[in-house]
Amino acid sequence: MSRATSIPQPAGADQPPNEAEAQSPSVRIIDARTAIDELIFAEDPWYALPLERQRELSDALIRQALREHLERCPSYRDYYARSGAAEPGAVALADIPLVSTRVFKFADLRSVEAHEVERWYRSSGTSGQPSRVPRDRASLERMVGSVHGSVGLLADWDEDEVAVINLGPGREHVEDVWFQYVMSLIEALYRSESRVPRDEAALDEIIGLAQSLLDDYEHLIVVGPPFHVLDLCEHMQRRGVELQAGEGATILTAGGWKRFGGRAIPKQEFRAVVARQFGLRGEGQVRDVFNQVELNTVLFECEAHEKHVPPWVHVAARDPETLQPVPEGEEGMLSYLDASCSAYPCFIVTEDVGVVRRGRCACGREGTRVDVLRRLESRAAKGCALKMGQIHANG
Amino acid sequence: MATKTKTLPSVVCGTVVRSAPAGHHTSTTVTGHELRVPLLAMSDVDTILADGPRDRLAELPTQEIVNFLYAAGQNWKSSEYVRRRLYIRELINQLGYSPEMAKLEANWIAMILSGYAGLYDIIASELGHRFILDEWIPREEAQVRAYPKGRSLHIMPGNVPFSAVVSVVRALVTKNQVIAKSSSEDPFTPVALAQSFADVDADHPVTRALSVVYWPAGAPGEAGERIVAASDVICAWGGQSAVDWARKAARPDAEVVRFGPKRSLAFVDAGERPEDAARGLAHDVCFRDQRACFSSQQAFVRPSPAQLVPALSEALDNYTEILPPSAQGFDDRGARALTLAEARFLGFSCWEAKDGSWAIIHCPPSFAAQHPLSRTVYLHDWPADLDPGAQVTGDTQTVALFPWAKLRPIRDAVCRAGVSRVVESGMSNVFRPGGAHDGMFPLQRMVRFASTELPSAYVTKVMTVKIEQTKFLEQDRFVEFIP
Repeated sequence: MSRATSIPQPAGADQPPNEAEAQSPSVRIIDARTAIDELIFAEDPWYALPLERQRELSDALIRQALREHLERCPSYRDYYARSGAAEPGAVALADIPLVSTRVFKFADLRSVEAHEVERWYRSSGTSGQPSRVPRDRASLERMVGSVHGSVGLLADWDEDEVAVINLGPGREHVEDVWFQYVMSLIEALYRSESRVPRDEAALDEIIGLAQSLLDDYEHLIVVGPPFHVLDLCEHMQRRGVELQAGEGATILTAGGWKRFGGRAIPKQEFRAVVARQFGLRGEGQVRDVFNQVELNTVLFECEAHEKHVPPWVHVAARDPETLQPVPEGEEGMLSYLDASCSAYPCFIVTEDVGVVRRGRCACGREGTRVDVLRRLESRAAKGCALKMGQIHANG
Repeated sequence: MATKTKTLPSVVCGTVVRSAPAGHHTSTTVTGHELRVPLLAMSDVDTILADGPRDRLAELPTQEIVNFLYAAGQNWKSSEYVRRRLYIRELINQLGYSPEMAKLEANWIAMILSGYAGLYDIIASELGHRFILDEWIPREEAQVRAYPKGRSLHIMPGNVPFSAVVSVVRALVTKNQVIAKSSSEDPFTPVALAQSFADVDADHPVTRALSVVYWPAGAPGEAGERIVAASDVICAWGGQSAVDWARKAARPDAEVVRFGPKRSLAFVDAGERPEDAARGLAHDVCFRDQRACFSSQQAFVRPSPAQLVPALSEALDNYTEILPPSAQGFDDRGARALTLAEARFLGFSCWEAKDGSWAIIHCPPSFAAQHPLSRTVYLHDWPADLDPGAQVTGDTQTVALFPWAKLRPIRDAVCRAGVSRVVESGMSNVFRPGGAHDGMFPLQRMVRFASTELPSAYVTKVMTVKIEQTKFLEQDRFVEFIP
């Protein structure tokens, strides 16, 4: 089944529209001819599928994506050949050669022609050189579709009854920073207000807005990075404000603590603070989502605070030396094979450390879940030796 | 392996303090043990900031300080010295050092403390005279003397024990009180050093001048802030965040002495003696597993890197045997694996030890991957038209050369571009008296110079008459005395 999806366009997207866009500037129809589009844009959510079916789909979709990228991306094709991996039909998913996400900091990697790239997105670059990652139309459509398809993990809301406060720049101000773009996607789903909590006056305004939207709508979603949400809670505390949202609000965080890592508090403590300040019925209404610029899919947290991985993405935790998958439940470096991306081979190994679990989740759904624990931190960072990344960041 | 918990004391003005009224900071070591370090308490600060410890040291003759350090060093030299044995054991069990590396660290502590002649040479070369901290020294038309700045705070590096000792010794020989803020990565070295001073004489002014405290990086709390505010000099070692924090936190009139972060590299002509070239480079790569700023991370090689690889592999294997690497934690191993994955993706040739103890990557200098350290060396082509000066920046500390005599002429190009040290390959870790460190002579930053200048009765070199300024003004004769 296919369904209509519009891609939110960031400000300054100055590529000339193609013919189809000229006829229909804001809405394009995906022709879901391929299996992956059928899955991403299905009416029935992917997380309702049995585990075994998810595995079958994952294997088939990733293998198909591998074939396509080997055909279209010469640098990945060469890398694949040099690695000695078996041919795509026979290679185990665990043995598909992985691209380090740091490659995106200094190499342009793409599987599409230059003119097919809708935009090069970059990471927020809070830790040195930002990554640059291309997205073509199909990748963006699928990314948006995946958000549509996964948002049900949060709750089954009626679109008209929900209002959103995005603690960040609105769509009209989003340029090429991927995180901001992803955060603004929610504006495509619900009636939204965007506010950057940059000072006390802005925080006061956000509190007033939240109160007003709680009165006017069945449900309020406040979405933003955890440090902004914490800023808001601390400000409410200083002002003596305690909202009484009950079941009527969900607080959604994304993006981690970034350069505000010194303020990071344990997840459970964070959820307790937020639930108390918003007057939520339970901490289950404080959720997190995960994405990074090199990954084309947003991973949503269920009510049991587990991030579910859709079947077009294969995630593994890997041994830090051999990069081979570690047994389920063990800590490893996280890697993703994301079949939803056509713009570049999204077969990546990241600097995140985490744990992967499969089977039935405490929420009752079957599937794969990932817990992103932290970033790699070399002990060398605390010595007096300068690492190369720092050199380039400085220079 | 069973996890054990180790609780370290703090040292307040030479006295070991095992209580922790402000609580402990707990971390996990690279070997998986739990490590508890006392957080700095207000009561400790009151003791540290009392005048006694600072003033008693300032009144001590330099030779007495040097002699005291020598006595401590002689203990460290003895393999029977219990403090040394405990220290080596902690480096092995807690920080994952190989026995050989741990022993070498203890030997270097002994070398620094015992090297009295070297200490006098450093004082003389950096401050101008061996007795300048004790006497007025004639200097042109003045007599000068150096006084300690007063109270020095040392933000210690993680995993480079040698630097911690150097920092303390520099401050002590310039008669500065020392407050060593340990790194969570190596809280052992400063404590062991302080305890070894107490072993010599628990009430000696040098012993009393040294305190070892801890607060989490960037979060000094009220107690730490009092220390920072009272510090006349802050020596900040380590990563960029430690250095940046020190600069921000320091009092406006305090001296902030930055050590690191820096990188170092080598230029190697391996055409005639590839084995010797490889040996020197391997030493500079393996010493302290590249965690030190003087460790070579890259080498420009001619006639070609590929020709050096067999000899270099052999030399690195040899170092794995004579100076085995320390245990690599999850994150260090992960950083190496990512770097190799990047290099392979980009088509660069990579060589790895069978046991993973080292890696060589032949890549262009523009390879912008984060350097994972851990005995990983990037080899670059060195074509005839390459400008060595363009390969370095102000962030480059040491350039190692092989062969020395043939390549020494490139020192002008690299030093003009920002390098502060040029050494023979294989000698990067040996800081010779008289040499510069990170572009400066650090002892000069630890003291305040004062001068008493000659009275008017003394003529200057350019005047043959007594200086009578009032008379010169009255007669408008000033211009006559301009050379």
